[in-house]
Amino acid sequence: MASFLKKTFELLIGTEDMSLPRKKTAKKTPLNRRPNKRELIQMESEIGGKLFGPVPRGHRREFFNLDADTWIWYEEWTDRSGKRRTSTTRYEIHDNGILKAQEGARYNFLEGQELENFTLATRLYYEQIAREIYKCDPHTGQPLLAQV
Amino acid sequence: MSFAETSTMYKTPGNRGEFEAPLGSESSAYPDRRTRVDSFSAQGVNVDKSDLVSKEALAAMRHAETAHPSYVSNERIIASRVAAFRSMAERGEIQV
Repeated sequence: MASFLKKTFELLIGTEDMSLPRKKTAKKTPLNRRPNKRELIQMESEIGGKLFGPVPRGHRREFFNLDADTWIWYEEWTDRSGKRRTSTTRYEIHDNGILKAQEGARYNFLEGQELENFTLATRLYYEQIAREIYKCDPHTGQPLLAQV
Repeated sequence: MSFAETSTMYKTPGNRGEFEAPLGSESSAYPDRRTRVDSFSAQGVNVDKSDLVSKEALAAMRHAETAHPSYVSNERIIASRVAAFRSMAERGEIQV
């Protein structure tokens, strides 16, 4: 009976493969153990890389908090000649401001719009990782499920 | 000229802060510097005092004058909260 119903269903809507093309989703496999710091940073950086809008095709972007004083922006892409390029920018939190350090560029303290963008990005980062990774309310730090 | 060199150049007598006095100051607390400017002037060089230090040094000084510590405190709070979440996850107190 069950196989008859299945066959009827398939005749009406087609086979599963035909009617429901499987979308390739980046579903995360839950860890069966406690994550280490490196793994947590990796998870966070995936969220961080999406804070600034869509990542251009062929680019890889990561933005994450490395430690109490350091944020990293990492970008990887292929240039017109087909050469793989990378760029790493380090943002250091100092008592007198936020220092931006880039390879081959001068160090400078963030100012104006760039400073505003940075502070907004770190706030969004925190709020999103709190909810999406740690399942906690970013304001209270309490587990989200407990508040329902 | 490096930033370190310019810092030393304007070090004031009596061990006061290196950038304590404004750049345009003609205070007698800066005899060396005034002498230097006067001697340049005497030779017919049009001296723009802002050129005496590098642009980086000027930018750093301007920043030090206008830096607002509140955003630095916020950044430290955010970083500490992120660290707290990570620690809880590492200890298994939060499932990720």
